Amino acid sequence: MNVRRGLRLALPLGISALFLSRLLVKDARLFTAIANDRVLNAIASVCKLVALLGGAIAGWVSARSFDDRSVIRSAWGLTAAWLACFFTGQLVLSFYEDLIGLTPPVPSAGDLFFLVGYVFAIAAVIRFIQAYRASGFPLGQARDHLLVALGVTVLFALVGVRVLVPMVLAPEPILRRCLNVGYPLLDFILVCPTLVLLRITLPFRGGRVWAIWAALLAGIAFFTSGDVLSADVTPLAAEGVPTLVHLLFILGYGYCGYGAFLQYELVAAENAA
Amino acid sequence: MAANKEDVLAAVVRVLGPYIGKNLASASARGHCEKFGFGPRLDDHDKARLLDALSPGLNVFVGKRHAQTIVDEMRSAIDTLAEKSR
Repeated sequence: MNVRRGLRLALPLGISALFLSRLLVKDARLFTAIANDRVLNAIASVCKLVALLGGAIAGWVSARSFDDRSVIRSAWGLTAAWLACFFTGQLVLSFYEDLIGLTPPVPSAGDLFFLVGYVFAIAAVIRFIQAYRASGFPLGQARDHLLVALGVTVLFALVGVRVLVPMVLAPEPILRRCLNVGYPLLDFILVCPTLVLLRITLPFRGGRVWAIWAALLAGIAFFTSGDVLSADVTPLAAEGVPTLVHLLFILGYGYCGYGAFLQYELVAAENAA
Repeated sequence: MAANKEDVLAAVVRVLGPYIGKNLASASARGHCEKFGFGPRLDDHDKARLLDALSPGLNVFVGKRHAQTIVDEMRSAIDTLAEKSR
């Protein structure tokens, strides 16, 4: 248990230290001779793929532990589908970047899987809200949840216009612009119900259920930040962005996978015992 | 065997707290007690009603089988209370 607790801290801290060091001291011998960009890309790809595949399997096994046709079963099934789609999308990107050493085309087949993955993610979060609200636990009034959703929507509409309009007007090919705008837009759509879910799951603080949601919500926060940052095409943002984006996606997918694994531990592993 | 409501609630929170957090466990159990109009002492029927009310919600978070295990643990913790008070 202590080893696991140590790993839980050491893994994200170690990976963050590696990528942040690359960002801050890129001319260090470590990054010019050993962990050059290609090696760091490969490390990032392996971390993302392991986290997404592990999360997809854990989510799928967890889903199977709930009653047939229950809302919560479909929520975990959709989570598994979301992580599996992201895994496949990442696999396509890694094939280009790490195996054949090319920058992936825009759009690539990977984008198709990522976009479908978003649809599953949004559907999953909505199903979780439905299931948790129907659980009978005192998780807040519908009015409070609606207020959170409305507040976040208004805030994102205001911020979204400022962030997305420059991307729409950027001198880029139309498909690239569509994706640059599409990913942050899908992120905003995903984050709205996710924040409602955060409000619903806050009362679970201190319990194992909260640990699952703290991990999943942190994961969503990290990878949506990565999406927004990677879509920022201003010259000022270009320096160092790929390294930071790698780190945000690793942490994002890592925490999502870890959250699904915690649910697997809570449900499926105890069933097998 | 009747038991003090506060002792029963404390036993429920002790078992349920590690899963859903102490605050929510307490709020949920108290909410059910208020809804059912329980007095300061709970008889066997009241205790069974309380556990039955908590069970469906638990299914959503930990699955049906594990929820049953937790309910059994709560029942056992409450029974232990009753034995101590004899």
